Amino acid sequence: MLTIEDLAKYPFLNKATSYIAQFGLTLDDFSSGEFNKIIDRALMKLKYAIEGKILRIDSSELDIEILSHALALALAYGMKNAWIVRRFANIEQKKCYELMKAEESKKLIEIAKDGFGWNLELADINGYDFSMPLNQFLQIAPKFQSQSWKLVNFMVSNGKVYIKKEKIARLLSEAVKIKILKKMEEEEVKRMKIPEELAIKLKDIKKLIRSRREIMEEREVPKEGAIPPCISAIMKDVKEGKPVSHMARFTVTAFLLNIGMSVEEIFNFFKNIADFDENKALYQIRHIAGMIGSKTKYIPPKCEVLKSSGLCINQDKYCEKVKHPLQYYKIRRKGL
Amino acid sequence: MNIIFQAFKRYYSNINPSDLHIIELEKREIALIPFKEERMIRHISFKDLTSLKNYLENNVPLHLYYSSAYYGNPQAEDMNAKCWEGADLIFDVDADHIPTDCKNLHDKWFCLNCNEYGFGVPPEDCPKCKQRKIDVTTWICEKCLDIAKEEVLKLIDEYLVPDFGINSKDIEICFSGHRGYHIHIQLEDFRKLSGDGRREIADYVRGIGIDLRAHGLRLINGIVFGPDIRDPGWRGRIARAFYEYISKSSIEELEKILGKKAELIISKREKILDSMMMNGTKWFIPKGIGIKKISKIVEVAIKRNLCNIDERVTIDIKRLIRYPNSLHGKTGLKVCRLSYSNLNKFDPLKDAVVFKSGSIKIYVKEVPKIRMEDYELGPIKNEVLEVPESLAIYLICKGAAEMGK
Ligand code: SF4
Ligand SMILES: [Zn+2]
Ligand SMILES: [Zn+2]
Repeated sequence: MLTIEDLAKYPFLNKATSYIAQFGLTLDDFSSGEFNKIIDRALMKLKYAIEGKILRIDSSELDIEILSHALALALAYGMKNAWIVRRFANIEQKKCYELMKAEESKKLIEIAKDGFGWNLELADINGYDFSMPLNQFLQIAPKFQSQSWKLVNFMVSNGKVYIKKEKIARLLSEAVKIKILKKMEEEEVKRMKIPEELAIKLKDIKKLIRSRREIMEEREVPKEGAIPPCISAIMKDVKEGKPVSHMARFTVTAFLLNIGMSVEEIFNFFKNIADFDENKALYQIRHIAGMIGSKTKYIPPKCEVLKSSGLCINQDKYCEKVKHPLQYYKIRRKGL
Repeated sequence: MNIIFQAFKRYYSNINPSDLHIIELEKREIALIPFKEERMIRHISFKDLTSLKNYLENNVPLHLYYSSAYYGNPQAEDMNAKCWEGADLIFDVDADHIPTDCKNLHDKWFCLNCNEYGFGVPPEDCPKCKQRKIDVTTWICEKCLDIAKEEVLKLIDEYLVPDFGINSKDIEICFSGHRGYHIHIQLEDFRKLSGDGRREIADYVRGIGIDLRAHGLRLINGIVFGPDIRDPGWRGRIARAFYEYISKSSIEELEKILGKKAELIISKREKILDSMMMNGTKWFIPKGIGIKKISKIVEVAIKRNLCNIDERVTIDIKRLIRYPNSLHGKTGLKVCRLSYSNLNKFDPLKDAVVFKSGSIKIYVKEVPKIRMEDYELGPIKNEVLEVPESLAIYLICKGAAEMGK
């Protein structure tokens, strides 16, 4: 059974949506001042999301918890700012992941069913905890880059994929994130408008977003003018908080390391990425810098490789003379 | 080409519309290559089988295709306006992608730039002038066809049925009309899969990216643990492949992997195999052979289990694929639809033959040894002779013969 507390913990559930619908509230209703508690909590949630922090569930007032989540999300959509929605989706993913890892297995089965229509079953074989249908598994799992998420590294039998609890939590929480992001594209959500009275209350939030993004932008890189267009393009995406592919990340990291940026500097630069995971990022950067595992320091891929993976964009006249982005940098730095 | 056109026209005029049945025809894009020009005609769609049949009769195709995808507007030219609704899951098994020795006997490549030529699998660039202008002539050969068929059976028996849980009656197999087979899975469950999801499926059957640790191969306190031969999925496949390799391989083969230590395996062979049979996950491995060497053996051992498919076909969610019961323009053979149970006895060089009226006199430029139905020919060069219609059409389609005078 999914309790009210579960709905507060996992507000993406369909049950939570129908629970909220009972209140019959629209965005306009929040102008009246009657719901200040909910509004304050919603603003708090946005603030935490911007700062990249998880706000723990307050179980003493579950209705406020549930409604404020819906309001926070509506405000994020209403601001027409994809960056904040991505931040929010990210934090929700992290929060759900933590909660789900600690959840009872039976409960996870209910959550998966109600939230995404997935048919998890308990399994106790070869160290696996659950099984789920192959096609449902493949909705999300391919989004993870690591080898441990490849289908070929799971036990697959009779149309079912066997999977450990920790990975189920990861899969479900990723589905939560994607659900939030996808909704941004819905017409109804695009048309959403924040009433004047509420918009005023968002002033501080907007300021916070701006300063947060400015801090990130200040972390500029040496000799900006000498950076080749392919690298600038990826860096721009990173600054805007857009998700970038693994290959793009690798390329930028290796490039910046090679022109003398420190691990720390690059780490700070990446903090702005929407799905930023501190431990993983630090590990990756160090790895590429050659501090972990192997001693080799990586160099970014050459132009030919970048071209074939679609990362070579906005080529300029200097590009004609070079075969490698680092070569581009060397040539142009001299001229600056 | 006139004789081919006439034959194909006859075929499409006499075809029973119900033989053109495909699931949800009205949602599929139909495409064809006509006789007159090389250009593909795309973005056509049909509401019913009769209108399709009538169209084909009047616009006889040299090659006929349909989309693996289901579209809201299959006739729209813009991909976004087509409204993709899903796609069948498709596997393409083709002798072109499977290395076979006999290709050296029947496949020839030719450099259009410098006239260099050679046999077998063609190089990407000409080894002499380095240009990428290689032309190939490939021939249907029984051995290649058999190998392709075995590959299909492996895919179905080892992967699609036991691992993916697909019922063999839900598997449609089509002989491509040339050197391979297409396997279509039209189940609702797989239709919505993204390209990424399909890549995972392709990688799964090709064994790409396997991490043996994830399947239980590890060293704990000096004891080797591995998957159980009775395990399902890749776990069991790894264990069984290792088991089989150890039981069958010669010392020479093992030496290639283990060097001098191969002897250790040979002398303890029985004990290793017994341990896998009896203890399941606790493998007995002689001292001195580390986990790295075992992984090496496994990597070699599982090669036989991997499916040789053209992964691009599986990954592509908007693929055009040969139309069942159409004719292949390079052979004149029928793209036969087969069920799992009649795949085994299917003989493409007999069962896919449609033109069987009399014999025709042709001038043959050059052919290796080939067979069509019960008629064998070649290798011959520059000869005029009378052959059965099916063979004449095949050779003319291939461009290896002309009508004889
Ligand atoms: S040509 Fe090379 S340096 Fe220039 S944009 Fe492309 S990849 Fe970057
Ligand atoms: Zn050449
Ligand atoms: Zn052959």
